[in-house]
Parts: sequence; C-alpha cells; structure tokens
Amino acid sequence: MSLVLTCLFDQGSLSRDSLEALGAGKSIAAELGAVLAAAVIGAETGAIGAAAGEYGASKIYAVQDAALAQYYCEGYLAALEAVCRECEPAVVLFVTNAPGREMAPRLAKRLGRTALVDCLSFNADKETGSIVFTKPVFGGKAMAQVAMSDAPAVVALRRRSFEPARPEQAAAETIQVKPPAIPPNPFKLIERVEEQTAGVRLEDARVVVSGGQGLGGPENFALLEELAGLLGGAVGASRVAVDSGWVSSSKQVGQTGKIVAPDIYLAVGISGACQHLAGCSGSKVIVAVNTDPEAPIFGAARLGVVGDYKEVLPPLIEKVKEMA
Amino acid sequence: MQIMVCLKQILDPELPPRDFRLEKGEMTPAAEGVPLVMSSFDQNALEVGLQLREKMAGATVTAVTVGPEGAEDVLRKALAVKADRAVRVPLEQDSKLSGGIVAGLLAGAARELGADLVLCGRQAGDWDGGQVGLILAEELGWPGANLVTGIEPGSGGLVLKCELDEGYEVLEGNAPLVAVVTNHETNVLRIAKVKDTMAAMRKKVEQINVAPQGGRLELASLEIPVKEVNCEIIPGEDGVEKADNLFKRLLELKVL
Ligand SMILES: Cc1cc2nc3c(=O)[nH]c(=O)nc-3n(C[C@H](O)[C@H](O)[C@H](O)COP(=O)(O)OP(=O)(O)OC[C@H]3O[C@@H](n4cnc5c(N)ncnc54)[C@H](O)[C@@H]3O)c2cc1C
Ligand SMILES: Nc1ncnc2c1ncn2[C@@H]1O[C@H](COP(=O)(O)O)[C@@H](O)[C@H]1O
Repeated sequence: MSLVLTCLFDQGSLSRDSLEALGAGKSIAAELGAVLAAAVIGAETGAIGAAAGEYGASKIYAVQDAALAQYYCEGYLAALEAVCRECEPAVVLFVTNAPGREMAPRLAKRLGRTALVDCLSFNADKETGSIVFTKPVFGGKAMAQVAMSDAPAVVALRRRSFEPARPEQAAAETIQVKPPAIPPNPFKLIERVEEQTAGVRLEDARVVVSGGQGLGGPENFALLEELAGLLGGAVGASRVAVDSGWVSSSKQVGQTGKIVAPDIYLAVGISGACQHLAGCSGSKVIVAVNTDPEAPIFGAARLGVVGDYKEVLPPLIEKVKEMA
Repeated sequence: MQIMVCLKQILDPELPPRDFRLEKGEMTPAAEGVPLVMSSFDQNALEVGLQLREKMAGATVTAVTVGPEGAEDVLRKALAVKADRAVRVPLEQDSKLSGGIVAGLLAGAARELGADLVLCGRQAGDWDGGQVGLILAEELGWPGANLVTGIEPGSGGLVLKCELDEGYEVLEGNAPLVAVVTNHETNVLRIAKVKDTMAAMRKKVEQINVAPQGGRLELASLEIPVKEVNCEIIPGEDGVEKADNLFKRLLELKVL
C-alpha cells in the first residue's frame, strides 16, 4: 500500500501548520487509497509521535537522537532522507513555513525529484496514482496545475489553505529509523531574537489593519496601531512598507510574508498587488482605504473607501471608541 | 572571497492582473509589451553581495544569469551598480518550472568561477519556484542558509542574519556556502549612477557553457483565475461620513 508522508518538525506538541499538513495528508491518502504516515524528528519524539497518531497518522517514522533536539537543516534533512529511503513514500508533504520552505527542495533533490512549493489544492487520480497540484504563479495572476507522476511527489503546502486535521481514535504503529550518520550543523548560532508581539499574533488576529506605501512614513503607523489595539487586532504591512523600514519584516503580509485570514482585513494605502493579496485573500471582509479609485485593491475588497486615510481613520477610531 | 550572485530576468511582476494575458494556445504568459526586469529578491541578493564586498578586501562580485542573450540586460544592471564581472550561461530552451535544470547550470558556473559564496533570491517573481538556491546548495554539497537579509565578515568566517517566522537569528558559517536572500530594509538595491549605467553598456559579458541536465516539472495547465468580488464603495461627502457608513456596514456584516 502506498504511503503519504507528512514531515513534522515540532517538538512537544503539534503546531497549526502540522495539523494542516496532517489534514491535507489525510485527504490525499483517502483519494489515493494510501496510508497516512508522519515523520517525527527530535531528541524525544514520543509525545509528538503520539499526537500525530491521534490526529490521523497510522504509521509514525521516528528519528530520535540527542543531536536533533533543535531544528537545523542539515541534520533534519539527513533524518528525513533516511525515513524516505525506509518507507518509499508516494507523496511527501511539507508546509511552507521557514523549515518546510528550505527542506522540501533539498529533500526532493536528494530523492532525484523537483519539489513543488506553495501548493493550494490537489486532484488525485486513483487509477494512475498520479496527482495534480495547483500552485499560484506570477504572484497569483495565474494558477499552474502541475502533474506529479513520479514518486515521490515532494510538495510544500501554502499555509492556511488546508483544513487542519481533527483528532480521531486510532492506533498508530511506530517505526524507529536510524540515519547512517547525522551531520553536524555547519552553522554556529550566535544569537536568536524571537520577536515578542505585545498583543495578538498577526496570524491569529480577528482584525488585521495593514499599511502600505500610501502611509508615507513610519509615524503614520501609529493610527493603525491605535485602531488595531481598540479592536483587539494586529498590524500588518505591505512589502514596500517593510522595505522602507517603517515596520519590522515579520509584519509583511503576502505571498512572501504572513498568510492571514481575519474577519476584517483593513488595507490602508495599499495598492493591492496580487503578491500582497495572496496573503489576505482568505479574509472574511477586506476593506480598502485608498485615494485612487482605480487601485487594484478595489477589485479584491468587499468594502471600499475612496479617500485619504488621514481623513477616514481618525473618525473611524472615534466610532470604535464610542462602541467600547 | 569570490561572491557569485544569481540574477534572473523576469516579466515585470508589477504588471496589474487586468493586463496579464496568456499566449494563445500556450501555457505561458504573453510577453509582448511587458517590460523585463531583474527579479526583486535577486536585487536584494545583489545588494547583500555588494555590501559584503565593501567590507572584505579583495572580494569580487560576479553576476550570473541563465537564459537567452536578451537576459544580459540584468547583467548590465548589475555592472551599473559596480559588479566586477558578468557571466551568462546560455539556456535557449523554455525554462518554466525547470528549477532543477537551472540550479545545475548555476552550479556548473560556480565551479568554473571558483566561487566561494553564492547568493540567490528566495523566489523568482515569475514562476514563483522558490527553490533554485536550495537545490544549488545540494548540487554543490555546500551548506545553505535560508532567508538571509545580510552578511558580514566575522572573526571566524561569515556572519549571516536570517529571518525566522517571528524574529531573526544570527549564524556564523564558513565559505563555501549558499545564501538564499529575502527582502529587508537594509538590502534594497542601490541606484546606479547615470555615468555607471553608460559605462556598463560597454563592459564585457562573459559566457560559460554548461550542459543542461535533470528533469523539470510537468505543467498540465495554466489558467488565469476568475475573481468575482463586487466592491461596495462606501458613500459619504467627507471622511467623517465615510467612516460612519463604513462602521455601520461592518456592524451589519457582523464582523465588528
Ligand atoms: C516575488 C515577489 C514577492 C512579493 N511578495 C510580497 C508580499 O509578500 N507582500 C507584499 O505586500 N508585497 C509583495 N511583493 C511586492 C508587490 O508586488 C508590491 O510591490 C507591493 O505589495 C506594493 O506595496 P504597496 O501597496 O504598499 O505600494 P504601492 O503599490 O505603491 O501602493 C500604494 C497605494 O497607496 C495609495 N495611497 C497613497 N496615498 C494615500 C493616502 N493618503 N490614503 C490612502 N491611500 C493612499 C496609492 O493610491 C496606492 O494605491 C512581492 C513582489 C514580488 C515580485
Ligand atoms: N535563470 C536564472 N538565472 C539566474 N539565477 C536564477 C535563475 N532562475 C533562478 N535563479 C536564482 O534562484 C532564485 C530562486 O529562483 P526560483 O527557484 O526559480 O524561484 C532566484 O531568485 C535567482 O537568484
């Protein structure tokens, strides 16, 4: 029976990303009539393996080694390569978070394949066992369907595009895998700075207020901060705002930034380039505030305000204050 | 230090969706009338290379592109911001979804040039492959650092600043290595002086021939998605009225 392998890098408990990989893996396996498996890697993989089992994986391939306590590409790659040689999967799934982005192409190369990064959906053919994955290209201006007929199909899924797996009661079999060698980390960690967000995380926020080039400078982000704060939301930004140094790059929303799906996405002074929209198109209601009625953002927004944000945001903030 | 920067020429990604069309009967976008530019993350990679060169005596920056002759435009842009050398690896065949092939050609060029640091962009702004730099690390058997925003010379090697999902980390590594670069306020490409742009026109572009190898992904179809969003323009004479009406609508839609 063929195998769909989801690669999980969490330690201790499953992240939302991993649940999405398991959810997608489950439906691909169902379509192909395949078994869902999970690769778990770390110094101690018991808990995460059990969690993966609880969320639908019926085979757990565990690579356990003290050297793998923390994620690093070379070590985890060696571990995954060993797992793939052991179980010969038909499909290998990653999520396009920081580790998935770098692992998928490199693992694929080791297995003599080319990966497909940032997939949105799939279509499996049970007869031939081949799968067609859909991926946005040209910043989302076109959708490419790519036939992955040779096993293994190595794919990284776009975040927030697949339903997370649900817990179910099933027994999972655990197979311990020993890589022939675990290479040391070629890089020495000098410093890691985890950004502490004061309020709610951008990706979890129910309301996101994003600013772009149209804000004209960093000081004007204060208005967005105020509005987001009042609504219990978070501030996002376009790439231009990040490149201008107005906000930190962790705030970038888009194809190469965060993928968000809030109830309200308020885009202020953002033209609505498709690379930006790729990060917020799952929002319930997109609201655009822009001086240019021709801006492409009005082709994506549910509600549009044509006007200068400096004239619209302050009274909007007052309204929200009245409500509270 | 021999720094090699990989630059791809692409159709201008800022082309608005309404002007984006496909070539009739072919799975490729219509290129006529669309400007060709240097892919945006490659501009960041180039800037990272130029800044590193400024801090390392004897370092050189070589700009490399894989593509047809016309792709040499991106090399001229690199020469205009003072890259030391420019190299094209010819690839006449259609290069869509062929990250594996391109990485092989770039690896060949890196060996020939004796590069010890290769810089790539994280993702080309046309087919959005997102993998050439990473495959290149595998091809060369070198360590690869991902989402790099800047590189400094350190006491024991190179010091790389890399983005994380939340925050960043600073790593130290030894050349040879591959760094995949992402955008940051510190690596926006400098603007060329007019006189340097003129001088770049007269500079030599070298050519390195490498035999293409490896497979490509199989494109089954290419379509322009139909988006059906009807934007409701919020009425109002001034900002206050518009804000009032917007607030009302958000309440009606039950999202506030
Ligand atoms: C491979 C690739 C990946 C990319 N990834 C991303 C990504 O992840 N995220 C991202 O955001 N971009 C990304 N981009 C860049 C993207 O193509 C656009 O360049 C960028 O999103 C534009 O930012 P902007 O809307 O802030 O600026 P602009 O396009 O300059 O728009 C500014 C807008 O502000 C309006 N404005 C001006 N003054 C006011 C005012 N007073 N009040 C209200 N409105 C005003 C203007 O009318 C205009 O519409 C990527 C590009 C490439 C090629
Ligand atoms: N034809 C090419 N010539 C030179 N560099 C390239 C080419 N294709 C891709 N690259 C490099 O690899 C990076 C990632 O490309 P891709 O994997 O196609 O998204 C780009 O940002 C470039 O730095």
